[in-house]
Amino acid sequence: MKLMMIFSFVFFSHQSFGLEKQLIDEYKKIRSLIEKDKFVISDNYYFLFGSVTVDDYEEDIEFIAEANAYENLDVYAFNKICWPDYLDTETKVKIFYRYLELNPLFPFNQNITILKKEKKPNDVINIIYVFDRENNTINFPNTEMLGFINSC
Amino acid sequence: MTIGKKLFIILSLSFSFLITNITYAVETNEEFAIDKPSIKLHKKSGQSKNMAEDFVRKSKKWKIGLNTRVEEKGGDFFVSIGTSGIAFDNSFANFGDARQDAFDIAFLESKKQFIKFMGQRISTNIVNERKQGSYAQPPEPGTSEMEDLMNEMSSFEEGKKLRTLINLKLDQALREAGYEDPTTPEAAEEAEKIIKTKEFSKSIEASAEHRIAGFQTFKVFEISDGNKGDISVIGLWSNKLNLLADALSTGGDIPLGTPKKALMDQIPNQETDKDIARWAFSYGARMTTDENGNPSIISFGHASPLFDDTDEWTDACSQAILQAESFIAIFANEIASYKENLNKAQNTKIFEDNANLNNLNSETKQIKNYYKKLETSGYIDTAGIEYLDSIEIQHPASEQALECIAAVGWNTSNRSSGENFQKTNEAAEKITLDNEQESNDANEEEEDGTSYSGESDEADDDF
Repeated sequence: MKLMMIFSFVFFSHQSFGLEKQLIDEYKKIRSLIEKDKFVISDNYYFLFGSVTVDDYEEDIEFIAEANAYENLDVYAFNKICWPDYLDTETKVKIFYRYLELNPLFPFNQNITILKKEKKPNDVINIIYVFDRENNTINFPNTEMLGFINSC
Repeated sequence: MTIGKKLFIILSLSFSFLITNITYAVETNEEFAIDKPSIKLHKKSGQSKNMAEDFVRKSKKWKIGLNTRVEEKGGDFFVSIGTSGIAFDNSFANFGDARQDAFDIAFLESKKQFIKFMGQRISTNIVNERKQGSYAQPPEPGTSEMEDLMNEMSSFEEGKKLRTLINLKLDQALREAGYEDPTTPEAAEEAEKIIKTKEFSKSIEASAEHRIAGFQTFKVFEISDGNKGDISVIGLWSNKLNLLADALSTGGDIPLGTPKKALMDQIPNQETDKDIARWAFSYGARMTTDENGNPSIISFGHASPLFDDTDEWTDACSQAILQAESFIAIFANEIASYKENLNKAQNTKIFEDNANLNNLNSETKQIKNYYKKLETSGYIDTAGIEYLDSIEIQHPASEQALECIAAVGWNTSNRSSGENFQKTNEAAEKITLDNEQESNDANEEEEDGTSYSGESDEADDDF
């Protein structure tokens, strides 16, 4: 029994260490992109980027930055769609959010964690969030899903 | 079932019960006979507090609380100790932040202790003054004497001004309690009762908080078994430090005898293990003077890289510099905000409305919010902060516990030098500080790679 426990501990320790190393390796590949793109998908992770200003500090900064990260994700999803030229932006946004009301990008996320928090000199705090793709799937809508013909 | 069988069962049960009771009695007796009650010292938590207390009592021969000292040597001074656990999630990616958070809480606790001591001192002084009749003829509200007192008060030293304002509040309370003449022995007795009430004590502590300018870290002790650790801060306040804080915020006269070395020479160098240990246990901001006698602040910031990689170290050191810079703004603004309230005060209400520290919970979030407000409050323009040095260390707690520690400095001459002033430190030659540092053997602790303990540089004894 004791041996089993020791084995389990060693096994799980290795698992978590392996996961961490994988995360580090994948983060290294995307770190030059995340601040600019605000959202990056690597082989095994989703990386989200959120910002808060010092003025927001009285509130829960992680919460506000997380909300901002989800907004950035929405923008990423919006820009992925090949929109018909005849639609103005206001209409596109209405359609997009109506679609998301019925079909959220993901129903819930599991284990979203703060990977890095960075204070910038201009009183902005940037937070990089990560969650794994094994337990979470983001369902990005495409043109056809919105009922349009993809002309791109 | 026959009567014989029933009798047998009853007898068996009775016998078993008897045997059990005898056994229990024997065991109980044995327990009392063998195990002597003992009280063991709990040594698992707060060991840094013991180290700090030993340092204060045995090494410095000081008391925790008020220490009396002759005026020629700087007058009385207060010493207090605050302790906090270091909460980190074993990932070591946030180890530097967790240590900094623990320092913030411990420092807040030591400040609260000071406020309590100072409040008690104010109360005692007021009661004694009234008993001795030195507050025998208070001016009547609304009279020209009262107006004169109010005008004169701006020239009072801080302690006297505070006591006068509290005395005026006490007179009011006495009148409300039916004592028209606050100078009678009966009124003095009643005053002693009023001053001890919860509400009045709160008011006194709010006022005492406004004497905190100049309170600063004297020394930091830290200990960890590799999983759980704690930090204790020895805080110190003296009239001289208060005057230096005054000089810092208002440009007043600098107290004589304060250090006059270039700021660069007041931070640890990086040549020996002892020097590196001094970096590791240096936190927050502290007042000093530079080589030209300008009131100055030296500040240390800590930040951990996400992992061991050049880019992450660069980010961590930028974070450490920013953090150290923000502590200067916080430290200077905190002093200036209290000084401003004291200058403006015409009654104790301003202190009650602007008391912060005593109401602050020892939670990282609350402290950070308070600091954030101070950082952006703009009482003092802290432009022109100069970068002094930084160091990248692997903490003895774990090979994964990496930290960049940065030191920055600011002096009041930079206040007028403008935002773009980027001072190049010409006097960067490294001179080993004379201060003897009592340090435990860091190398010995490093061998197992988990537990560690250490202490910061001791602040200058000239306070």
